[in-house]
Amino acid sequence: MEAEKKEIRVNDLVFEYPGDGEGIPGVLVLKGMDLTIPKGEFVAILGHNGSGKSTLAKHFNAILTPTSGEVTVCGINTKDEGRLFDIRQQVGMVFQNPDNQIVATIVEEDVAFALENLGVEPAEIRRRVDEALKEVDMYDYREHAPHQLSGGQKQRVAIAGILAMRPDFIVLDEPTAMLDPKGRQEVLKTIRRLNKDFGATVVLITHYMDEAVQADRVLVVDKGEVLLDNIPKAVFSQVELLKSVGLDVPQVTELVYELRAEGVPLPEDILTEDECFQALRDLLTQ
Amino acid sequence: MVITIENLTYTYGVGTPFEKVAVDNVSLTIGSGEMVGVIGHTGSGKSTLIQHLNGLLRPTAGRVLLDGEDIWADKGKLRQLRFNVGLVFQYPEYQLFEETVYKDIAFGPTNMGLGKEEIDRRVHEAAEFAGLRPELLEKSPFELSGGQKRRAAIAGVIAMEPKVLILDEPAAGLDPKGRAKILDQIEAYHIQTGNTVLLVSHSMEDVANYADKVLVMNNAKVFAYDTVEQVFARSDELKAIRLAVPQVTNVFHRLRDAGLDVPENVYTVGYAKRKLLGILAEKGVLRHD
Repeated sequence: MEAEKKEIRVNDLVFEYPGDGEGIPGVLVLKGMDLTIPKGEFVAILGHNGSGKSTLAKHFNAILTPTSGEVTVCGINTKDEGRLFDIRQQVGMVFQNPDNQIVATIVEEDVAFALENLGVEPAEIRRRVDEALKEVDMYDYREHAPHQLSGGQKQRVAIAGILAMRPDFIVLDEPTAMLDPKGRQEVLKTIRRLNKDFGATVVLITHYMDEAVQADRVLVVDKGEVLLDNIPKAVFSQVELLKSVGLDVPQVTELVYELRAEGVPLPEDILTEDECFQALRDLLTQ
Repeated sequence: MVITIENLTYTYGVGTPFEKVAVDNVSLTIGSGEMVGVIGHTGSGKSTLIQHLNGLLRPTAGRVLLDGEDIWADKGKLRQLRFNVGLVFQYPEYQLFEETVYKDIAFGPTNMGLGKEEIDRRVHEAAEFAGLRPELLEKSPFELSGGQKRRAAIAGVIAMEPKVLILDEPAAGLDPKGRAKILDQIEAYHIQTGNTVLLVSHSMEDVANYADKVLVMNNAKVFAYDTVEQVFARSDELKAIRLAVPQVTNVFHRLRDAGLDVPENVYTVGYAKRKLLGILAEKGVLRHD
């Protein structure tokens, strides 16, 4: 058939949780969204609780389907129930709570779970499980029981389970929200490596600005609409706008913004500690 | 209520191959009415330590004293102690179970054997402290949003009117606005009641913004216990034990390392801004309109 582009395309997506028909009204969550996520990109989606960002993510692998408009994954419409399997194989999801995603009692069996269900040959399963565990740096733990692992390690096992299916897209819905700072770092490092070294397309839904800063592109979702869609520097320069929709900016960005408001000559696109240090050092030594 | 911890040691799994010292000979005093931030890695011993403060764990060695009285001296008094020291666990919303928010908040006071009117007063007051609108009280906890559920669970502990309130990661998993709201509410509670509050957090920024003192746990021991200023002045050491210090603290340390004369105890954006504006005005970099 047609050689479809490897991308997720969202076209005028509207989604409403239906009412009960007797008084409890429906809730309009997504109000017409347009976006394209091409293969190979690392996209962060930001938004406060209730902004619609998780609802959007659930459309990427047909957990939800649009009330109107359409979502296509590599050319397949998510409403095409006959192709659900194909869609889910191309778009893997990782969720917030690591304890809710692990089904087996041994790490490597958990990673193999989906492959067994897909009827992959045992030798191929072995190969893919080993590869996936190495990619998330959990190979040494392959014979451990999941309850012996830390939150960050469990989350990496969940990611390995997705990787083993060889999806084109990996969607992570607040994968670090329940982790401590060390676990967060481990998971984020893994995500970045998958994108940079293995070319995986990553959609990261997060509350943490320091994570979003590391993406190629940041989408800010508010009240069911895409408010901003740009590179991190351009998004985080909109300090007022971000604060008005309940989001934060990194501390260093806020400091520079506040100083600029007082007339201090500093560049406006400071995102990292490094940049802030250099700008302040230059200013103070001139 | 003064909390005194004397040479407290707690060992998990004594006599098993999994024996592990989680708290190792810790001594410290938390004064009445203080707001103390508690920081440390997973496994540093901070959760084990706070579970001793209301007698959920019994020390392997050492003592915990409340207003000078050993909490394990008379086991009959433990129940009363638990009313005095309220502990809000991580993700407390998973513990909501009643039919209505009102009944859930009333659960503690009812167990204390209080009269109906007193319970009613406490439920309303606790809901207000936690920032829950009165009309939510008649709803099922499961109709609430995540942030509201969290506040309902916190209200359930506040309603027992403990002298000491301990919250384990009260803002975990919330978005920035939700974090600020819940922490503001806790700060207001602390100011209005004058009660002691212990805030366990992974966020150095939150601790810097809200606490007066910081207790840093590392490898089962107290790494630091001092005012926020004093603790953050040791940011190099904090980084050495892999704790994430606030970004502005790091930037100021690097500026100092580069030979610039900036203060070392900077940990909030507001303070950093004031200090920098002062320095720039002196240097004449800043335009004066």
